[in-house]
Amino acid sequence: MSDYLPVQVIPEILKRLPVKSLVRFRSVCKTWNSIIRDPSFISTHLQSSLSNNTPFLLIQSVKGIGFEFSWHYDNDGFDKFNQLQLPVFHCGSDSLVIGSVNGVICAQLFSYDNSLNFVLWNPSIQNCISLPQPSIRDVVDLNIGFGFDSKTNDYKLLLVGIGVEDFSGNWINPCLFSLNQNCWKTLTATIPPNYNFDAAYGATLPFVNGAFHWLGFQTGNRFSNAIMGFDLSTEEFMLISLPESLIGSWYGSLSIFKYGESSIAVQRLRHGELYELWVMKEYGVVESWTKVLTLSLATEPRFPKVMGFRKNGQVLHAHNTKMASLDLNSQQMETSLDLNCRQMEFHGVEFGAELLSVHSYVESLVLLDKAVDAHNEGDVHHSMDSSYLDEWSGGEVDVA
Amino acid sequence: MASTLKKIILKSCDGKILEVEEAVAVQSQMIKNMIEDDCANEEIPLPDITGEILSMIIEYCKMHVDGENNSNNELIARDADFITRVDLNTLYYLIVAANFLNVKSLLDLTCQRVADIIKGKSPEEIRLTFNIKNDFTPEEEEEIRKKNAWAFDYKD
Repeated sequence: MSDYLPVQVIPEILKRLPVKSLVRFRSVCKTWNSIIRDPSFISTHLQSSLSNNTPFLLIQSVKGIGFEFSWHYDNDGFDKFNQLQLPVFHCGSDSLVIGSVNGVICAQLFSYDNSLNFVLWNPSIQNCISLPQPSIRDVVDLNIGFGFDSKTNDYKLLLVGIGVEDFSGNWINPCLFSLNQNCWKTLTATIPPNYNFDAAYGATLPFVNGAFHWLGFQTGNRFSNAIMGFDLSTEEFMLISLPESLIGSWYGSLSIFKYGESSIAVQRLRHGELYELWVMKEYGVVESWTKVLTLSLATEPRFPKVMGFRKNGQVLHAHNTKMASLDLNSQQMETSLDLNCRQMEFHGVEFGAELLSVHSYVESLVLLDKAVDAHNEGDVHHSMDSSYLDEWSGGEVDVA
Repeated sequence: MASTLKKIILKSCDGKILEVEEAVAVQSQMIKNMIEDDCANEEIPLPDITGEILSMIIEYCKMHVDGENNSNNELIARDADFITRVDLNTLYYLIVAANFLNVKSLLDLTCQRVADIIKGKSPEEIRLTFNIKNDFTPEEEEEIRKKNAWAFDYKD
């Protein structure tokens, strides 16, 4: 080419490159290295990746006493992703994915001593940061949320749970981890009074609109429900009302999901043969709750479990050990379907295990700058070297 | 609002004068701003853009103005046809010019083309392509390469 490119167009070119090329191009020259590591470039590249790349679905299932992972493209073919281009993410059987935001996966690693170990992992740059231990110990029921605070450009982890020695069932003070500060703090905010919730083991707390969400009920009454939320920026808990018929449903029949990029949805099982899917079309507006689907099941022995929504708006179901998508006709306010498998589009993948959770993932450079911090500042972030990772990652993406 | 038949006069660095319809010229945000500020009544000198590159940019802008009513797919096909005819050297001058004139769609197109060309290359090939001097010490370079060894298996 020629003598020089204007420095301001170099990021314009680089933001369109795959992460792996960028990591390699850090060794081109000092200017390129500092552009690629620059936090504002990392976020420009992320935006470009979010709008142009096909996201992946990271599917976690239960196998024996552990877990298994599988990657798929969130495209029409639901293609399996086996190449090592996007590396080496296959947690050991003793790690559970808590959430996935902006290309960063938060996982809990289980150990024999009941300590709470979490890692933040960006598989596309093969960087992993282990978090310091929270001060709370010996916790039984724990709800864990992982999200991104866009106001402070910070990744945060929330723990709300019950202490093991507290037989009154009181909730411990919630703890919040901030990656920017690299520490946990105990929150003064408490969950809304007179409300309670069951910890949902293995379930993700949907992270939408800067807040985590889970289902709660009025203390002592599992037929009086509401959505509980925690706003990452204000660090306050909140309540979101459900539509009338869901408020009065049995708490155990409801589950909550992220809907699209900006709202939430609730599934309700009825009498073991019907399910309803409700969507809050406009986040925070109670009047916008809409029943988008009523599904009756005459023939199937086992209920399909809603796992979430795909980028194209289809509802992703776990159907025994298989995965299927169902098209929601958004034109109709309510669709009634008799489920004989024909209406479901099966994805030709047999997981051989109970499906636990589905996370959307997009490749990004996030944490690349943190890795440098970890290197320079020694122990501040315990960036793991690859030999340690090998102990708990199989080094293969394939789960077959 | 000025008439769309008004002509804007552009002068390249090698002295070539080109008359362009205003509707075409305003594809450049820079020229659009000049027109709005009433600074485009005389010929506009473009110090870093040759006549050859300027003609190509006008061809591109004209194609987009004429194709306004075409389907998105048709425009994409025309863009692809336009950009694949351009060699790497010309591509470089187009980027510099599109950046200077602030023609966003052309900057997107040219940058994407360069990204597609370079994504599978090695750092050495990148330095050759862009005429970049390696300013790392051998130790520094070795350190970065060692830490990111996995990214050097070239299957992007």
